[in-house]
Parts: sequence; structure tokens; C-alpha cells
Amino acid sequence: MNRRTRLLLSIGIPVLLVIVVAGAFLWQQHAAGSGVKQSQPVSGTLEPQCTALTKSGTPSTQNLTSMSLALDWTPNTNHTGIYVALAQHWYQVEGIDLRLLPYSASVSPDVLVSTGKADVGVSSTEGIVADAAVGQPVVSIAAIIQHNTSALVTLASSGLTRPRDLDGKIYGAFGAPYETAVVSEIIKHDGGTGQFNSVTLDVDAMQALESHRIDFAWVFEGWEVIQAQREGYKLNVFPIINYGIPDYYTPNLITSPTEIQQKPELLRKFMLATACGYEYARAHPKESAQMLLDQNANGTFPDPGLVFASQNFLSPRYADPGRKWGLQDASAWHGYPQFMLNSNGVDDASGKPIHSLNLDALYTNQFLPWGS
Amino acid sequence: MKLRWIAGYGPAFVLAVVLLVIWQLYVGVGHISPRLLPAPIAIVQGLINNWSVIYDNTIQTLLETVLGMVAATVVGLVLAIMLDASNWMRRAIYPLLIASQTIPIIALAPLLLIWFGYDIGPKVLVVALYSFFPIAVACADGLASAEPELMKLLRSMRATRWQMLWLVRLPGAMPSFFSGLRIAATYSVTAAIFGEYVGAAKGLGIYLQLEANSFATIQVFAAILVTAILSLLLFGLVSLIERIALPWYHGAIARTM
Repeated sequence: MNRRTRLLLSIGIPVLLVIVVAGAFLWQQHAAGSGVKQSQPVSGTLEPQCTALTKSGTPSTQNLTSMSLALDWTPNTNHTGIYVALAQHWYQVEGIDLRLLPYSASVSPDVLVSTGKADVGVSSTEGIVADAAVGQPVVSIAAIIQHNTSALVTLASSGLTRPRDLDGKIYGAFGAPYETAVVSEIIKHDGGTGQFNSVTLDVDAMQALESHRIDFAWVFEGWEVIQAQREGYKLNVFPIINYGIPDYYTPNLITSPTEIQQKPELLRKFMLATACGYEYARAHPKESAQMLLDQNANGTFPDPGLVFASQNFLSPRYADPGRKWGLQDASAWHGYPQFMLNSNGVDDASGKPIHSLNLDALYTNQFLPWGS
Repeated sequence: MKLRWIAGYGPAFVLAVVLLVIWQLYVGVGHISPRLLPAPIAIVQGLINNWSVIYDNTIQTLLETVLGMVAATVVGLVLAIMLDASNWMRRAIYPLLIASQTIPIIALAPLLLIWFGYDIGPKVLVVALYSFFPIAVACADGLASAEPELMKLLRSMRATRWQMLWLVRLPGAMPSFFSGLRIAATYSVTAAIFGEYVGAAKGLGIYLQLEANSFATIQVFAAILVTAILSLLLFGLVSLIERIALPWYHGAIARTM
């Protein structure tokens, strides 16, 4: 090889690599665009407010207002109603082109919503209270699940059969300022001293539990506990609201005060489509779980059975019988948030604990189609 | 010569196989739950069964990596030449260059997302940020270590600055440049995955997250396997280009060995 060939090859190989990779990328994008799965249209009776969404054939895709929604986690059964509305084109009927912003481990939906990078987001009661305390207010516009479905769990083989057994044991924490107070309260409520050791994990708490690195963890019944059942190992489950913790809504849909001032009409339309999606999911767990699966890329859910089982658990819990989805009461917004404030679980921007907040400013039902 | 070259990797191959067999036996005999540690054979099966999905995500990550590496190479070379241009430039730029590497990118990640969004751009940027430093530093050291006799000779022949750079210093710096490039290539895939973790719609980083959140440990390991293979391939490619570009250098190494 002479000098010229060598130079040509040394530059040519990287250039070729870039071209091949970029070509494969474009080809694959082209192929992906043509493979969107179509969901079955909804059947059965809908809420009177929702029937208008289904009447008007295929909605136009022009003159849509674009809107973005920040997810709080990788897609799961907490988000089903949103995916139902997407699958049925209900947002388009309402003139909205909804984009979902994927979950980010380093930026919370609260930050995206309060900085205006997202119009709406999925957050939690804890997050909303903490945001208000540091002067980055967001407002809850709907309760996605009416009751708290989280629980402390231990392995059945550990012999830790009630919360007071957890004194002096190791808790796998996720690093939130309020969790020590909550766990301690649960143990005390059951007659223990509320003293325990905690290690903060960035890994799946269930893995740590299964490998005996920790003794107990705080998880969601609708996801981790169902997964454990599917794998066939036994857990002791202590739902937190059975042990003196005030019940609260989680997750919630949030928006910013600015958005409420500037685009109330858009929010109302968004909430109509979303609320109808969740109402449909309440009545049709199987069909709505299928829509959640269809609307997400292959590989999002390696085990579809977990999605169906989780949806069966959650659908009846989105709201109690006879109550419409999304509504929020003052009692829930005063109970748990005040408990957090009382237990030094909320810090202001300078890191000092605060003990009072205007809790009524944290939520509103005005955008729900069934009014307040 | 080829045979001997392959035989040179024999011990590594044997060690890898032995470790894999021990791993497989340990999982099989110890009844370890596949959620905690899946066996190598199960991982390969998981990779094959989910190949179409993993391939989709791999292409995304690979594109980010390759673009980031190209950007890092250009920036690294330009910086190295600037560092070498004058003593004054070196004193001005070098400390800043080092300071730039002390910033934990994980702390900048939220800002990257808010400034640049969810597209491919910020991931390419993260790869470039991770990769340009070893290239720039190694190449600058190579440039600075040009043989003094050769420089004297060129100066006596009234060569210009650029001629000296092009004829002696850059060719002389190439072995160091390639060392830097190899280090950068090893890190680049991981850097792209980290960039995706910050927020993206697609890519191996996102796939890892989705599978971990769905408790699919086998697929998590399959994605790790792909990451390792990609890194090795990139490393190999850089070595190949080095062999093509600097035959005299490798000839010399082979003779001294």
C-alpha cells in the first residue's frame, strides 16, 4: 500500500461507517413509520360527556394545537387513560396534537411543567407539595388514582408479619425527604418504636429484597406486588393507608399556574379526552390494556401478562363506584400534605423545614368535564 | 502472521470461556433467581428472541456514538494543534480543558435536556464531551514530543511552521493520537447510553430502563452484551485504521517484540 491509499483508507473507513449507520437509521425510521398499530374503536356505553368524541368519523389532522405531556415513569398502567384517548384519536377530535415527553431520570415532570417545557405532566401529591414549598408551583388538575395503592412489603419467608416487626430492620429507601417519617409512623401505629435503618437504593427495591440485602421496601401494589405474585414468591403486604397514613391521590395530572391563566380552554379540551380515556379504562380493563400495549413500541412491555394483571388491579381503583374519575376533595388535600408538613418532610428553597402551606391552591377540579 | 496474531488472543479467549462456564454452572447449581443473575445462555437466548427490538434501539445508539466520535475527533485534533501552536495558548487553554473534565456531566444533564430537548443532538454532545478530552490530550503530548534533531534540521532548512507541523510533528503524533482515540472509543457507547438515560424516546439506554422497570433482567443483560460488543467493535475498528495508517509504527513494534 502506498501513502495515498493508506490516507484514503484511514479517512474512508470512518466516513463509510458514518454513512452505513446513518443509512440503517434512516431505513429503519422509514420502516417504523408505516407500522403503526390501529386499535379497535370503543364499544359499549360511554359517559354522556364523552359520546361526542366518538361520533365524528376520522378527525382531521390539520389546524391542531400542539401540546406536550411529561411522563413520570416509563409507560405503565397509571397512564392507560391517556393511551386510550390517543388510540381513539380523541385528542385530535378536540383539536389537540398531543406529544408525550418520555420519562427522564434526571428531570422531573414538575420541572418541565413549571419551566413551560411541557404543558401538562404526571406527578404525585408529594411532588406537588414539595414544589409549592420551594416556590415552583404546579397545580393538580386531576387525581389519576383515587386511593393510595402503595404498601410496605417484606418477604413472607422473613417472618416479619406486621409493621412493628420492622423495628431495627433495613429499609430500602428511594431517597425522598418524607419517606422516613411515613415508614416510622406506620411502625409506631402498629405498636413499634419507629426506629429502623435505611439504605438509599438506585436499583429495583424488589431485587434487593429478594437477595436479602434489605428487609423491607415501599412499593406499588399495582406493579411490583403483582409482578411478585406472577413470579410465584410470597410477600407480606402492609398497605400504608391501613396503618395511620392519611389516604391521598397518586399519581396526579399537573399543569402550571401560567398555563391555567393563558390556556384554560385548551386544558378543558385536554381533560375531556383524558377523562373519557380513564372512564373507558375503568369499565374495560382488557381492551384498555391492549391499547396501552398497541400504542407503545415493541419491547416496551416484555411481559404483556403483567400489564393485563396490573390493569385488572387498577381499573376499579381509578375511582370508587358511583364517583367520576379525576375529582379531588379538600379532605385528601389537607390530610396527607399536612402530615408531611407536620413531620418535617417538606423543605423550602433554602432547605429549612416548613410547617404550613396554602393547600387549597394546590388542586382544582375546574377542567374536568363533570365540573367540581 | 495472521495465525500468530489470532493465537496472541488465545489466553484471553480461554479465560473468557472459563469465566462464562463458571458463571453458567454457578447460576445452574446455585438456583439463583434469573431476576438477580441470568445465566449466559439465557442472555444469548433473550438477545436472539428480542433481536428486532434490540436492533432498532442499537442503531439509534450507534448513530449517536459514531456522530459524537467524529465530532470529538475533529474537536480533539483542532484543540491539540491549538495547544501546540504557542506556549501562550497552551497555558491559556490547558487548565480550562482539565477543568471541563472535572464537571460531573450528571449534574449538567437536566440543563442539557431543558436546553436541547429530546432529540439526537444532546446525546451526540454528551458523547463528544466525554470523548474529545483523551484525544486532545494524547495528541497534544504527541505533538510536543517531536524529535528535537528533526526540528533542528527543518529549521536549518528554513521550513515554515506549517511545514514542520505537517511533515514531522503530526506524523510523529499519530501513535499518541490513536491511543487517545482508542480510549475515547471505549467510553463512547457508554456515554451515548448515559445521554439517553437523561431523556429520549429510543436507544439502548431507554431499552435498559424499560426492561429494568418491567423486571426483565435477562433483556437488561442482553442490552449490556450489545453495548460491550459495540464498544469492542469500535475499539477494533480504531486499531484497524491505525494499522492501515501507521504500518511503520506497527512494524517497529513487532520487530522489537
